Amino acid sequence: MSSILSVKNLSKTVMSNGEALKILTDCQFEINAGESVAIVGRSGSGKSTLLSLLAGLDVCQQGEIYLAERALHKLNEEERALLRGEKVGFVFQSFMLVQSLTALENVMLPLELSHQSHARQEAEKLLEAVGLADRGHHYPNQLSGGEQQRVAVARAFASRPAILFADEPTGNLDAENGKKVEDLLFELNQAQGTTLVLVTHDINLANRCQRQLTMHAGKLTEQAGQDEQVEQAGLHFA
Amino acid sequence: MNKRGYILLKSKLFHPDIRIALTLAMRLLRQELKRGELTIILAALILAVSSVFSLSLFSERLQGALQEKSGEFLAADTVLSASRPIDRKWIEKSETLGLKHSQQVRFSSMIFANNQMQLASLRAIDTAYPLKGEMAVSQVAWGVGEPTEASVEPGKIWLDSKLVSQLDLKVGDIIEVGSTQLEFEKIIASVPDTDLNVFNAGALALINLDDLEKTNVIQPGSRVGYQLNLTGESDALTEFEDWVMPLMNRDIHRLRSINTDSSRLLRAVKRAEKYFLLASLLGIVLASTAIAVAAARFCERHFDLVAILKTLGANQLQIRWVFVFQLGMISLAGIGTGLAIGYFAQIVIIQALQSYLPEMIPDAGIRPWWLAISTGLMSVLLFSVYPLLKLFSIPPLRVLHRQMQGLKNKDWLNWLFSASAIFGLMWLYSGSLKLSFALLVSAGLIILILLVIARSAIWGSRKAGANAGSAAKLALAGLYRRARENSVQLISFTVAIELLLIVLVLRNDLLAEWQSQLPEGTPNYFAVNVNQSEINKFTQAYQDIGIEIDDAYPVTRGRMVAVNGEYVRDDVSKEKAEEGDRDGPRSFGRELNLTAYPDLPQDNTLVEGNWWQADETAYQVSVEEGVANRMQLKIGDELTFNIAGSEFTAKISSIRTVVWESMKPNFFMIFNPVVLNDFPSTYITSFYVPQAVKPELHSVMNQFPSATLIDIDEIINQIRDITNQVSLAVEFILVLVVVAGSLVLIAQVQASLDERRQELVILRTLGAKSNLLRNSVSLEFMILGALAGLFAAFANEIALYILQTQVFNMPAKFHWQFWFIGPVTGALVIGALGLASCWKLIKINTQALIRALG
Ligand SMILES: Nc1ncnc2c1ncn2[C@@H]1O[C@H](COP(=O)(O)OP(=O)(O)OP(=O)(O)O)[C@@H](O)[C@H]1O
Ligand SMILES: [Mg+2]
Repeated sequence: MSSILSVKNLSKTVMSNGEALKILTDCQFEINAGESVAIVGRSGSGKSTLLSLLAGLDVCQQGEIYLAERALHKLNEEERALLRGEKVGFVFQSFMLVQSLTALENVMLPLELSHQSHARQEAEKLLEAVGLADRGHHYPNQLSGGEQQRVAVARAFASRPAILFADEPTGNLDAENGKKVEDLLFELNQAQGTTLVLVTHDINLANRCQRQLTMHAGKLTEQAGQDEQVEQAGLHFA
Repeated sequence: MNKRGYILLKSKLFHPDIRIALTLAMRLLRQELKRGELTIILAALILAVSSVFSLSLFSERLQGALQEKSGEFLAADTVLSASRPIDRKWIEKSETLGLKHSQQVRFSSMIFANNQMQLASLRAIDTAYPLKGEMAVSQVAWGVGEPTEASVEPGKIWLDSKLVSQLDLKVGDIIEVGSTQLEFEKIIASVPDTDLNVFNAGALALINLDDLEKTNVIQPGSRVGYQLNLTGESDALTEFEDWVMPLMNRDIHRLRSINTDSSRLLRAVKRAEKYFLLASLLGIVLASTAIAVAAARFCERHFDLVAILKTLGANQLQIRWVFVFQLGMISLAGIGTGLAIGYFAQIVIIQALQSYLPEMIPDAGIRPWWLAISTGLMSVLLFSVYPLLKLFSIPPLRVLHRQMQGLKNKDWLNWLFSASAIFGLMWLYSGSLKLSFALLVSAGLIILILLVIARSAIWGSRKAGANAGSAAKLALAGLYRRARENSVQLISFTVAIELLLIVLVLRNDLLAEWQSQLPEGTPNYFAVNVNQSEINKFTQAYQDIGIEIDDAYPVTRGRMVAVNGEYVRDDVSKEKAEEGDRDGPRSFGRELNLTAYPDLPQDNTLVEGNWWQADETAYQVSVEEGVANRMQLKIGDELTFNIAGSEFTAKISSIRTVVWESMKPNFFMIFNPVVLNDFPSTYITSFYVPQAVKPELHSVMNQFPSATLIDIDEIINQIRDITNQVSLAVEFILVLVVVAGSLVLIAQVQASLDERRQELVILRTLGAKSNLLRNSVSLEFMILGALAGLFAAFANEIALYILQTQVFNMPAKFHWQFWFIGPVTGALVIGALGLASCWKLIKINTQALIRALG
């Protein structure tokens, strides 16, 4: 299997109150195309920071990231945007839908931005896939949290990304809705062969992934065994 | 063009990125419009554009009408008067410049008819007279005047009512003027260029200029005034003035024009124009400030959108065009609506003013159009550059870190763009670089000072908050936490309130000044040359026809020859007089009209010294303040006068002010009664004659052949007309400024609520009662409002002092009431606005709020 994401010696330092604060230290790993990977760890350990670097939302200053065979750390802002548009999908804890666009228009957005034809039909299909075919004309504030997140998932898959990043996609949802979104993610992952990288506190969600990466104070360790899952459970309820 | 060609053109014109941006912009706008997010920016834009448009349409017409009126007072735009015949070359020059001209010769002469004679002020005029305004003639002496287009033909003479009744003439009689005979044709009711100096006014007679030579009245040495009246394009007039000025001899020539003439009425008009310009300028600045606040808020509300778009892979081109299109469409809508409303408003105003604006000046041309359009575009463009830059630079990372901002530490850019926008607007509108610059610099200074005070006041509130009740504590803590934003808000509140106050105060002062000048029953007739022996009979005769004459003043002509025994040099005082006031010291260097009176005349106010007892025997004199200042006279100085060859000395016992516009006899020098006892004098008085009683004047005046009656109704009406026009304009501007000011306040409150929203939600989630939140929010705004009102009163006082003394030449006053009204209304209005805007926010349940926050 080919590697879709490859990270070498990735570090991140921020200035906080005049002091240099290292929030990521020498992260190194590879993710293959089609894989599903969960990043877990304590609050504040640097998961979101890592995700934003991997997805090209933030500028990578130390280390190397190769995303879909492009050297992300060498790209400028415009090129990163282009790469995001072509290869990357996102789902966020807080949905991040455009409030003044309807559900359908939100899903159409990435298609239109990359000049794909039949954006509307594609978007309608996707909405149907997430079970919201009849809610397309509703605005986000007319939808429940779970519905909004499903729209966000539909939007994330709209441009058929090679890799999808999700930062606590179920974090704002109740169990039932969380499950729905979770199922959706994996279904689409299967159907489109999309690589899934998600940050989560949800042990069930993490367990459904093929691999788990654990962040601990900015350092990354790979885990595969059952005992880690116990430890995670502890973390989760701590 | 066929369809394929069209599609080709379309695809060439629109880069696919731009096309998608356009689609997106439309969708976003549609929803924003529905949710009312664009109301403020649209309203502000519409207000700015419509007011600039209607104001400039209307003010060009108003200015035209005012100029027209002012011109009527001179019967021309420019008058060149001389004591010698005017050089033929000068007249030719005016012709080559395309100016219309009219010549006039003024002199005094006896006229004979029916074996009687009378002294008349004669004017020899050509058929072009009057270039501005119109003459009126009446059917009978003292009758009601009717405008006439006719002019005095050779061989004819027109006489005023006084001459007609004194000489007992009827139309067609033959009148002798010097060595020629003329036929009496018409009775003059009024001429536009009446001599405002009642002491100079004799009975008026008009003859044709071609007959002048035949009269042989003008001999070497006789006192004659020659006049060249001009009218035409203002550029040509200016060119003529510039050309002729160096050729003029100060002793012989005098140039007056509607732009240079310093008569009080014209100064009042000029003052009104200045007010008009300044107030509308402030109104427009306010409206564009509202645009600025709303534009900044528009951009801020889209921070998240940009972050999302960037995350989804939108490129810079797409993002830029999304917002350029949105703002472009808002501008288009705002400007379009503004123009429509402005045009409509202007029609309504003109309709309302129809009776005041005698003739409609032709359409104002395209200037108002481009002025309005560029005002709108400039406000939106310049005020949104910085917010847009900030918006475009929002990092995509904001989707994870909501507090992330774009541009940092580039606030100076904001100030730069805003300042240039405001400067540009002021310059565009006023056309005066100097005024715009002065306003900008003073505004900058005021803002700087306010910024310092505002910060310290807000910091001060922190201490006060420590031991206050819970709502107050929350409010003060909020104030302090947002010190930076709040001081900006405080300043815009202050500026809005201050500008409102300025416009309001100036309006009140101007209106009060005008209204006090000519109340109902203002004297419309002067009677001069009433014989001393007849004055009681005269008063009685008027009483018989129902007219009360309150004050009659004895007048004796005399010269002031020495101050404290030192003889004054005539030429010196004449020199001074030239540069001074028209009705003022010009009287010096020639004879003065002197009077004696037991009491302080009405409308006169003592500024120094005491008024005498009626039976005071020591010689005393009361001097008008302006004269006293110019000639550096003070209480106790001894002035020596010469009346008909006999000299006497009087001590200055008081200095007084005079209301020159009161249409009553006014004097520079008043003696106590004993002084003039031994000198022969005639009486002068003024009184109000209702329209209905006018026909009876004829028979009354016939009893007093030596007395002259001067009708100043025409002048009073002209002044009233101007006052009315200007007052209406002033009210219109006030409304504009109030609306603009309110828009600023609303926009600012809304913008500041965006900042508070998050915090409110958190407090709400933490279980804060809505009562507490409501109280703390309204308290916070009330404190801001009260502070703003206080600062505004302070800044208002300074600005008014400068404006009144420097720009409007009015006495400066202290406006104590605004120190109270400012803070109270500030607190109430801004508190209420704040409460109203956050009412909804507090009412919605927390769940919905959190979701709304996204
Ligand atoms: N720009 C920044 N400046 C200062 N500190 C930062 C910055 N960005 C992140 N941090 C710090 O880095 C650490 C990691 O943050 P990050 O958001 O990645 O944590 P996380 O693992 O996603 O936590 P959570 O599970 O709570 O979302 C935190 O301690 C955070 O405070
Ligand atoms: Mg996180």
